[in-house]
Amino acid sequence: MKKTNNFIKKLFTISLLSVTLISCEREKSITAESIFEQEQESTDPLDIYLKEEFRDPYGSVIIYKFVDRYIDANRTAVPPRRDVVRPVAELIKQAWIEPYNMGSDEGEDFLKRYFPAEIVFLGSPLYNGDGTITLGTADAGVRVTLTQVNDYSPDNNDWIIQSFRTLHHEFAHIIDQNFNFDVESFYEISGEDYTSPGTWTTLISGSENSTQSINNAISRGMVTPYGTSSVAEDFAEIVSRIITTDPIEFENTYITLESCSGGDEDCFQRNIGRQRIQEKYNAVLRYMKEDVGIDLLIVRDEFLNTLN
Amino acid sequence: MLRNIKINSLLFLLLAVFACSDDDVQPLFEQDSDTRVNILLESYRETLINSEFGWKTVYQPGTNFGGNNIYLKFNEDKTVDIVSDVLGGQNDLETTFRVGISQFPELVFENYTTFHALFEAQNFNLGAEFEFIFEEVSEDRIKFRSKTDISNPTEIIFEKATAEDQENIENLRAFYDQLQDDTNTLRFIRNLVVLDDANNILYNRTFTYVDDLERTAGVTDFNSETGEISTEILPISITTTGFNFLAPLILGDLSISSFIYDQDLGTYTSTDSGVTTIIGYDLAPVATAIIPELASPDVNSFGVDFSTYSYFDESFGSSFLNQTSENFKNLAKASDVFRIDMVLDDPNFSNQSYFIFNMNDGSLNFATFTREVIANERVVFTFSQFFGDTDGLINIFALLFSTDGFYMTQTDESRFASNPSYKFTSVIAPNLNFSVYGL
Repeated sequence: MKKTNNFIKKLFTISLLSVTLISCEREKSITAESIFEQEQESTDPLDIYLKEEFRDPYGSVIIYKFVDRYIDANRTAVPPRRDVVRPVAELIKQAWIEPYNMGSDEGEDFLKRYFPAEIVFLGSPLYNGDGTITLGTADAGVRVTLTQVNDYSPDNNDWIIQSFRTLHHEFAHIIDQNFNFDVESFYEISGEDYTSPGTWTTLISGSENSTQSINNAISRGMVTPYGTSSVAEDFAEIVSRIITTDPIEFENTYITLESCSGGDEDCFQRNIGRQRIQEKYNAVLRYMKEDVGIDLLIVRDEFLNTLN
Repeated sequence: MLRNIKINSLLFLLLAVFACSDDDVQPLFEQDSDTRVNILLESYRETLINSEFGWKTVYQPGTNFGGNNIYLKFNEDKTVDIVSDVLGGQNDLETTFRVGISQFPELVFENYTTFHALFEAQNFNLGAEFEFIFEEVSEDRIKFRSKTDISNPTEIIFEKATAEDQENIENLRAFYDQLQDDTNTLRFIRNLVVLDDANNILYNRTFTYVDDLERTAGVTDFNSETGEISTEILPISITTTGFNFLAPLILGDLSISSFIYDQDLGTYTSTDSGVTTIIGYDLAPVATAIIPELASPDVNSFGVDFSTYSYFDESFGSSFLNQTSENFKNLAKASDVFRIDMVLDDPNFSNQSYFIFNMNDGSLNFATFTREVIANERVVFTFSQFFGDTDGLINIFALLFSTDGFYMTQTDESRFASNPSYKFTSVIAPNLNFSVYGL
């Protein structure tokens, strides 16, 4: 009787499993399929150029077709003209990629690792809701936005310098984010001189680059009014100015002490600021050379060559 | 025991069969939602591409602004050819288009072209757009609404174009200059008169138009009894035969919209509301006598307190004085002048008086004059000599040196106590007045 019961129990269990498995059988076997559609590679010559020169070697996509998600909802901008996209891309090669390739211990390998994954071209500035404009942005070290691309022309050096100041500023942030610049070294030099949040614009007199505006920044030991807003911006502004300013002009503006024989207090203050800028200049060159492997003066010389 | 097993087996069997049974509910759609969206977008894209001669639209960015004629040919390679009458087509640049979706199916012009030029014009105040949401799609008509203009979304309608539409729109470009009328003829009073059957004037207004992105005309009423002027701004749209007011001009119970150009007479004529309305030069006087309400003793001190008076156009922001009439503003614009200085008795120039015309191309032109002040009434400028290039200035000359001169009154338009403002009002055409700073 016990054997019979055991047999019945086994039969019951097997039957139950079989019925369950059979009734739950799917008609199709589950196979892994891509959730993304395979988009065809563009045959547009402009896209092919950008792929060959930026995406393939540096993993960087230049976004020149308008997609509104690349712009904050409270900002406004227009896309670039198609005819300026390639010349500006060429300029990025000449005035950004090649200088860094020349200045890096690693040659091209440095930018292959750290060049931003996305560069967004906009035709206009980014118009903020409060009436101000933004000239460029860097997001999380992977995307840089270049504005006012429609103002490009080959002989417009003002545009080139302004735009590449912005790009080199934003790339300095990317370097900072990857190599952790020693912010304490700047605090030790200028800890008291940074402006409180949102007030750096009070140093602007006329335009951001007017002599008075720059002097206001120099008095605080920074190279521009925007540089006074935080250590990170101070660092990015110095890097940007070093690369994009003729060395003699940089020396005369930011380093060489003025003669303050008239007892002008502002003059004395600027000279104190210049001594601080000299310290930061040395710290930045050393950091870039020793920690990042970039000779910033070679980058500068190569950049300035592109303007000639 | 056996009985329990039988019952349990039966229960498990039933549970297994029902729990794992197929859902008998039939799917609502044959494809998943992504596939259906893609099919819809592809059908919209094909509709755009399949129109043999492309599409045309009269794009009015906002109800306060005029219409822009735009032709579009969408191509298989994602490019779109644009031909417009906006600024002579200078922004009809190469672009790609995208039929995509964010919240709704949308058409996006991906690179800078005419739509973007309108979008960013005048500090974005036109309310134009380059991203449009599909609302209604048929083979020969597509209705969109603007994507970002949420509070008052603009409607834009594409209509299937004919073989001639591209060329027609190209030809429209010249018509704007014609409506502005840049002919070098000595005339500055442009009337809009409404005539009855016996050719009596029912209404006498002045008309002004300058070709800019706003595409609006000004129709001014001058009250010769009170000296008051009032201007109605009306959006227009150029047509192959003339132009239309997009919002009709209402005069009493008359509603006037459509005008036909007469090349021989250089006039625009409408027969709307059963009356004849003509826009043309010197069709009727604006003022026929001195209007005491406009005269002022302020003229007596003209040139005593200041040696220079200057007019600035709107590009100078707050230096533009708002009592300047639409008619004068457009006359200056059409003359390519952005600033006029009136210099009196210049000791560095043999004590001569002269106007300096600051031209948009950066050049300066000079006209010397003598002046006669008629006490408590007006000042008259008499032309002496010209230095420079008279091109485009002839109409403004005709106004400044009209023999009846100008009333002159001090106004409160100046922001600076030390630089008072004055208004000069043409005696013969009071609709043409301009305000200046004393400098």
